[in-house]
Amino acid sequence: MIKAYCKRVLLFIPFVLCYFLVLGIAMMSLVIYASEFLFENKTDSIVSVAVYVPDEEAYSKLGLNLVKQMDSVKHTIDIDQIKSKSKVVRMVEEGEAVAGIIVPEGFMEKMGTPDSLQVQIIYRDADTFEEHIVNDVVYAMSDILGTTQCTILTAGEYAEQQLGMDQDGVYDVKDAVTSNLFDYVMDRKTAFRKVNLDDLVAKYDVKFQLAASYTLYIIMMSIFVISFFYKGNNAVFRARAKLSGIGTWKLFLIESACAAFMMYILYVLIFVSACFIFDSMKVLSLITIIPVILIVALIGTGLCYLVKSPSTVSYIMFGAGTSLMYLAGGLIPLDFMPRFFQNAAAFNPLHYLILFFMRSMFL
Amino acid sequence: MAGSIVTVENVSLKYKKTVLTNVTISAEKGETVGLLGLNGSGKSTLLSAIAGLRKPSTGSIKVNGKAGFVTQENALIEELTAMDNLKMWTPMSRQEIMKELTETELSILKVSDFIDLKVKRMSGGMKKRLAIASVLLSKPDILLMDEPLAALDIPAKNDIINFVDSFSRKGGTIFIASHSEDLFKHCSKIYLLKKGVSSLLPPGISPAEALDD
Repeated sequence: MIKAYCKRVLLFIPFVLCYFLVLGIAMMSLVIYASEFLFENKTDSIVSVAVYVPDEEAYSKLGLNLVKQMDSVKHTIDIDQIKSKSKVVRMVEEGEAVAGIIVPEGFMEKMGTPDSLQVQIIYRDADTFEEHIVNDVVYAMSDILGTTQCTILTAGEYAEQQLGMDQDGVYDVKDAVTSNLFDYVMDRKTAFRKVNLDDLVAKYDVKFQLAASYTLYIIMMSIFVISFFYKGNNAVFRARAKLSGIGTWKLFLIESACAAFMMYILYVLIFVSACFIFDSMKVLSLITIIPVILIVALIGTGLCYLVKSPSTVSYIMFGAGTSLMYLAGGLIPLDFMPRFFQNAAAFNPLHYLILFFMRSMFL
Repeated sequence: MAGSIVTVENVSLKYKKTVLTNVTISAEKGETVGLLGLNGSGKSTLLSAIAGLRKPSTGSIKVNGKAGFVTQENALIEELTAMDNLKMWTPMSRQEIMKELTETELSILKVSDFIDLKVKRMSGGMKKRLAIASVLLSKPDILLMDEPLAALDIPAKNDIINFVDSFSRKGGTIFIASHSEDLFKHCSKIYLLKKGVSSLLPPGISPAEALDD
């Protein structure tokens, strides 16, 4: 029985591979095209922020200029210094700036006192998937600005009052502090979610993740095709097997083993094809992928046994399977999804399966 | 009933609703038993129970021998050839299978004519012949056939009827659930199933008349 069943499995491989590869390539091309668009430098990916700093806030202006010169900021945020608060609000309302930052009068003087004032961050309810990126960048920048201002102020006051320095000496101290400040600021940045749009590695991560997801997707979906459900004659086969002395468990294990065999052959074919596209494929994955494939085979075959009707299996495999894959970031990278979906992925077992798959294949 | 190869006594079976009620039938060695009834009367369920696939709620079923069940839907894999399908259920080699198909009563089914043809390219008659041969390779003493002539052409029907005669002559016991009068002519006794209740068809009454009542 196993021999005949394996033969059947082998007969299905070209069909499964062709069908899902065409589907996979079409979807992957669309997403990669979209990601190229998103990662393009000359697009709206650079966030425009309007900032109001009162004239008397010399330290704030200094801090702002410092922030503007930071590499990580100047490639992602276009800081537009505005001279009136109302104009900042209007620019955000009219979409000229995605966010506005208003530093209040007396901000520096009252910093560290019970009457300390807050920097106001103004933004609209963004209606695109960039919402979380925009918010993170705005918060990060505000935080950096505040830290910079605070440190420069403290260093200046310390130099003047405690060391009794003249004005030139104060500036020397400030320069030294500013230099050390960068390290501190960069450390603080790690507390925020960063999306470096210029980072080429990020682009490849997306491709790696998508390649891993689609491979897993192909493997998952192939199980329905090779199960006895394919032609809707599951009950007949089970009866026939029972009469031939093959119990349900034995049949289940035979089917799972054959499904795993098919998936493995599929993986080898996909692996060989992927070697032409990615130069970082890991040969070791031909071994590490085995437990993943066994898990998928057992779960898929078990599902075919638990659900009575072939159409229900079809709905579950294609409907629920595809939805879970989507929510796991398998079809669209999680970075492009709203924050809620990103958090929800932590509860999705497929998310971890994709990560494992990706690490097995590439990293 | 003492020398019966199959004895079904007062069997009732419930599956969501009552399908069989106090059914009592029996068959001797070499007998061909017909099961007559309208759709949903419980014929297939009774055959499944005799095959051991369903447990009766009450009553007892005794089968003295190995049963082979030719189901209404064929348990065949469409992508494989006839030979691969046969190999799926038997440890025999190709030569041994070919010998069985050409030198025993299975030769009536003419399966060797299309042994290397894929099931998906076969006609309904070929598929049914192959399904019967696949069951017969395990050498059952009792053959249970559910609607074996459904949707077959005349040559295929004749071949299967000839096979039934041959199997019975060689001492095999056959239970046939069918609507076909042609097949009932070859039965030594016919049980009528009406709403799950069985009765022996009296002599002189044709199956069609019995169903009309």
